[in-house]
Amino acid sequence: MALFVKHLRLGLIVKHGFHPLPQLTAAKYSVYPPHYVEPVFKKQDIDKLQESGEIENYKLVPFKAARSNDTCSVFHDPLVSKFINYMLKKGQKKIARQVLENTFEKIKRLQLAKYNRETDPERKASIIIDPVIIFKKAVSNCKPLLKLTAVKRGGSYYQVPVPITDKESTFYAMRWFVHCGREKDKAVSFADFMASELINASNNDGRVFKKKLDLHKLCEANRAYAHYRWS
Amino acid sequence: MSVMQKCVMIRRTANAIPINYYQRTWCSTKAAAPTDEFRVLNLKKKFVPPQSKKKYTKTLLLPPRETAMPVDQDWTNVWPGPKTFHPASVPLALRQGYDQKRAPPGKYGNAELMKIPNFLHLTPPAVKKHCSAIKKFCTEWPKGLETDEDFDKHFPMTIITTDYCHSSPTIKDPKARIVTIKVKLSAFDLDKHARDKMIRLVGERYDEETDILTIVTDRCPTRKQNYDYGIYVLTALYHESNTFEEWEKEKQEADMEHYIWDNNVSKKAYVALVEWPKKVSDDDVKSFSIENDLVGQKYKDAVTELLNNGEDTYTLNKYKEAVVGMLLPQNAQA
Amino acid sequence: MRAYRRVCNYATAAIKQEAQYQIPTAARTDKTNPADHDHHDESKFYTIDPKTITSLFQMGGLPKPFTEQTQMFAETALMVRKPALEVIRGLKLADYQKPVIRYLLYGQTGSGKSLSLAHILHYAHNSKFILYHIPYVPIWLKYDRKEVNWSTTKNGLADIPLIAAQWLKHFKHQNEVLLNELNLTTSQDYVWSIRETTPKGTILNELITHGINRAKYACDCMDILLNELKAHCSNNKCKMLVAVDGFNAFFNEKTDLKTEDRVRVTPQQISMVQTGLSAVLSDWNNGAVVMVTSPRAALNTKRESHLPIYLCGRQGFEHIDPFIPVMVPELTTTEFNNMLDYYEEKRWLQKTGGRKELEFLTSRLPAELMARCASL
Repeated sequence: MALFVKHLRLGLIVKHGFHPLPQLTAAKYSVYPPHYVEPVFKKQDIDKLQESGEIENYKLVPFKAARSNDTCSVFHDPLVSKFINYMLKKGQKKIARQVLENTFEKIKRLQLAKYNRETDPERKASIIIDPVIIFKKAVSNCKPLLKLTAVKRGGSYYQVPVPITDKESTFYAMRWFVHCGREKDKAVSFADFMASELINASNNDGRVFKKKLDLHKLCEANRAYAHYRWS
Repeated sequence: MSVMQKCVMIRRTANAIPINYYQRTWCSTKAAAPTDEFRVLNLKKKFVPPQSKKKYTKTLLLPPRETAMPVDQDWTNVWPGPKTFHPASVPLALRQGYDQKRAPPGKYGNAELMKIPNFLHLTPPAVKKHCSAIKKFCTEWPKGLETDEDFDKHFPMTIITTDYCHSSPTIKDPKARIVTIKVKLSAFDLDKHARDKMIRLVGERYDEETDILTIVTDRCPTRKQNYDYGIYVLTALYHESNTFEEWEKEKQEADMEHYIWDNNVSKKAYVALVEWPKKVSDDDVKSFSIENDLVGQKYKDAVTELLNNGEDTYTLNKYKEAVVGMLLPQNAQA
Repeated sequence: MRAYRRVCNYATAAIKQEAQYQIPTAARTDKTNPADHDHHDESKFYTIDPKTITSLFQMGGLPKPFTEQTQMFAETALMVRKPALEVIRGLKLADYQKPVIRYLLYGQTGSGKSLSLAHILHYAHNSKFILYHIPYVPIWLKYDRKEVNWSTTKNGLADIPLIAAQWLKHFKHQNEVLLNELNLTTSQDYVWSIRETTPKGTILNELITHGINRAKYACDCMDILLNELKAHCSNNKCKMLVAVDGFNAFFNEKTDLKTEDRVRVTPQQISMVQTGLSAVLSDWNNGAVVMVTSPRAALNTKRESHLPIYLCGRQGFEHIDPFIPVMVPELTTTEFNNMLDYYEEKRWLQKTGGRKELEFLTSRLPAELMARCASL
């Protein structure tokens, strides 16, 4: 088995981007052996497992320890906490979290103002106020379908469009948001800027959404190089 | 001539030969001198047969004593006095220490068990035995000193000294001179003023919770002198606190040990409230009495408790109750 | 990886869920006049009409986060709570021929003292009390590039003319209608300078206007106004409610203020503070005094306890003794649930089902709760 895993890893290094068995690939330098399973840290999830009887499968499996920011709080959201991690500078997570909370408050304020202004009940009901839903919508709207990688052919590098994994495309989208937030004008606060940007992106608009389209356009333009991916 | 030759030869080879070679060649020439054979340059080291390994002889050890101990043995005979821990003579399955992977180490060869003091000689039967042995030297317990209260009553003062065995040419230990005198302040016949003055004079030496005054004297070289000095200080304190000096009359409100409602603004406020709309002067406040005024007394008690005991939910609620009864009698009735 | 796939499908799932959830409505009371409130209305919301808000709290009096929230919700709803009811009941029952009764609201930071005071002010306003309302004392004492001068009339005291003028505006705004109605006049001549005098029998409104226009005399004007009002109250011409928020700041050790000759002044050295202190004395009748002590008004070295004597000191206690201490506690369970119902009704709280967690995180302090719910 161990040998099998070793070969698998070697294979992965060669064929980057192709994950035959993602559960088995451990991160580099992980303190856990690859057969360790991600922890189920939410009480609700554990209850569900217990109800369905699936918990039996977990009985003899070694678990990784839960991370310090994994909580079973109702308000915890994995995507949001991931975004906080992307946002933070110099490990100042508390500040990053505070900023994102301000952003969410701002989003809520903007949406509530819209909500209160609207008189048509049907339209009123369609306005989303929950900032987390807006955030998720914005991120999923900005996820690219392809990416460009540099491939060396005949002494020069070509930007080759390649398919992108779901994880990576989420990362691209969130990184664009963070970069966009950092390039803003200094007079505007990060929270204000981010709030309007997220709302725009959730309506398929805004700078980040444009960035995604730009990337798609570039991929389209470079489609002639696509075969370099294999040969 | 031959010596010269030898020297030349040696010099010639000196550049190439390794260290120690010179000595070796010299030795070999000496060894070869009696026979007229051709000298052989032995570059390889002479083979020395390896020393035979020292044979391991197992020392004969008696089995640990604990294995042969009967269950009903007299433990005081096994462990009569204080002694460092010995695993073989303690029939207990002790473990002490920490091992990352295994159970804590056992008692054999365990330095941790030997380092710590043990009280294996102080088992209850041993103590009992000792007591019964020295019983014949004891006199009868004095009558009237049965309880601790009796002690406090008849012997209010405790004098604490410590003797030391000093292991140097002089057996005098400097710490032996220290004398501690402890007295309950209630043992003195002090009035209110004297008691307050005494507490202020002794400062930190008085413990309010236990009512004990502690005087430690260590300045004099001998214990006797220190004791005398301590007793002198106590006497002086007693007499000093009983005298009333002229300057004590200048005591201000801030110097008070307790909050006294009658001397304070609170009374003035109360009198002004009762006498409203008349304006009140200081004399009115002084002469005003709350003997028959239940509301006023309740208020006085509440304020006094609030300021003396410090504010908390209880005292504040009491104060509130008193004030509501005073200011809003309608509300209190309802 | 799997988690991410789940997350990406989550957004649509959440929208679906929302449709099924019945959004609760907060318990409200119809009685808009605080005088009608009794213990049946406890923990319910009542709405103050915007007109009253502008006339009472146009220039301060409500905490800033609360004001923002009211703008968001397009209504000002206050929860009827026990401490305010207690004080209002006291105001109703009090014998106004006796000296004024002093109430002191105290409680932890963010427990709703200022809003309780707002409720009381609303009651007093409806019951035709003149409001001598100091919105928040620490604002006076904060360094804000304020102009501080030594007073010309009172020796050793310092004036903050612009702030005093601002306060006079606030006073005028709150009481203009009532003052016109009552037609109160000054009882003696006041000579400000050789050319400026206010003769006896001038309407108080004019006196205030003079103070506002000539900021130099605003502090003296405040003091005179107080004395006049006290005298009028004692003569049964009107009723007055003195309300001081952040009362314990009067007894702070220091302020950030410096006079022009670079002398630091203590709070007690400021003439406005002296006026405020004289307002809470009980040497007048036909009125009431409500004070609020809060740890936040104290210096940041002295915020360990929220109890009044700790905050005001012995001097402060003796100044206001006897007073009725009214504790403003954290929300009760009903109040807490109703508050969250209100937030959900107003779409402010979007995540349902985390009530226990919120209760634990905020220890049921309303201000904390407001801040916590902001991002949820």
